[in-house]
Amino acid sequence: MAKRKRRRYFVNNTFQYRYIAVVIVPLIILMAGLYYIMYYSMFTHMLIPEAVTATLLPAMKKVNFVLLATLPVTLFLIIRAALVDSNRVVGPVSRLERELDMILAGDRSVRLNIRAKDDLKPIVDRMNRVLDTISK
Amino acid sequence: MLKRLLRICPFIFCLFSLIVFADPVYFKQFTFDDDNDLLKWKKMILNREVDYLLRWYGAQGFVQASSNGACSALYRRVKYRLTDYPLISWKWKVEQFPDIGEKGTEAEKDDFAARFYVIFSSWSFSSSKFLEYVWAKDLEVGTVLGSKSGENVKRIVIRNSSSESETWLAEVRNVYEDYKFAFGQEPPKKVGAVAIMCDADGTNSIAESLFDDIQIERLAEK
Repeated sequence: MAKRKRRRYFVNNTFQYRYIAVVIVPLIILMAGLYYIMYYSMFTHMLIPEAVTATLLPAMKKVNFVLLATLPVTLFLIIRAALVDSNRVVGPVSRLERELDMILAGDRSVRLNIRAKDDLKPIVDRMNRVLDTISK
Repeated sequence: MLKRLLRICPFIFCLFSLIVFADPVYFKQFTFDDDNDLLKWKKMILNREVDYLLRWYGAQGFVQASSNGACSALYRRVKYRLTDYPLISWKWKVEQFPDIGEKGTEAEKDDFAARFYVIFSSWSFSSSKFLEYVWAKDLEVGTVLGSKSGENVKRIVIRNSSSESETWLAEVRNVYEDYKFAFGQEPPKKVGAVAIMCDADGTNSIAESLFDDIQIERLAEK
């Protein structure tokens, strides 16, 4: 099967929105939680206000600056990863629907196409084998 | 036999109730009379380490804090409702004040031979509150000082160099009232830690103070 490049990562689909939310929201909560735990554990370890203001707060300022500076890149990478991953499931669905419609319309020569890395590949391969068996 | 048992049952029940439901006067007592007493206190070094050593006067122990241009604290986590145990008492003595000149800089004025902290730790530094009792050199007793560490830190001068320093001085402070006096608002519900400190890093001089018998206790019944 020829390798076909993914052209559209975002197919306007509520499933993909939901999938992206499922990936991004817990990740952001996890990152914020880890940040807070890190800050809180250091704060409760230092406890004395002079120690906190002299060492922890300047350090946290630097950490915040680095986090803010890298936030656009981090968010871009997270969203991109979520899009690519969700597209492996959602992307082939509309094409499969179209191809299945062609088969239902009577064209028995049509076979279902899917990219090698798409999550539905094992099922599509089996469906193609079923179509081969029926066509014989 | 059974009758006798039934007769003493009420007494046993009363004794049991007293043990279970009686409110202790003290929440915590730190007498420093045991070799291991200081092990439960944690150090927080701010600018070189102050020597906090357990010393003995006969069978009675106390903490000697010696700072040679250093600033570090010794703290102990405690967690209790302030309204249940609003009093804190302790004994202290200043052996040597840090060398603050008459026109001391801000950093020099920040040196105190003896400090006692009550820490109301919260989910973040900005919402935590810190009440300090300080033994200052030149400041007037009753002065409330702010701190460069922020608005959530208040210091009350409760002793100065004119206080009798030949002997140990005992303090009994109502933290609830002191907090209201210093911050002008109701205190947080829970106290998270207490700490002692001796610092002389701003003056780069020598300071020494002694601490003993820290007690967190209820208000006396009227």
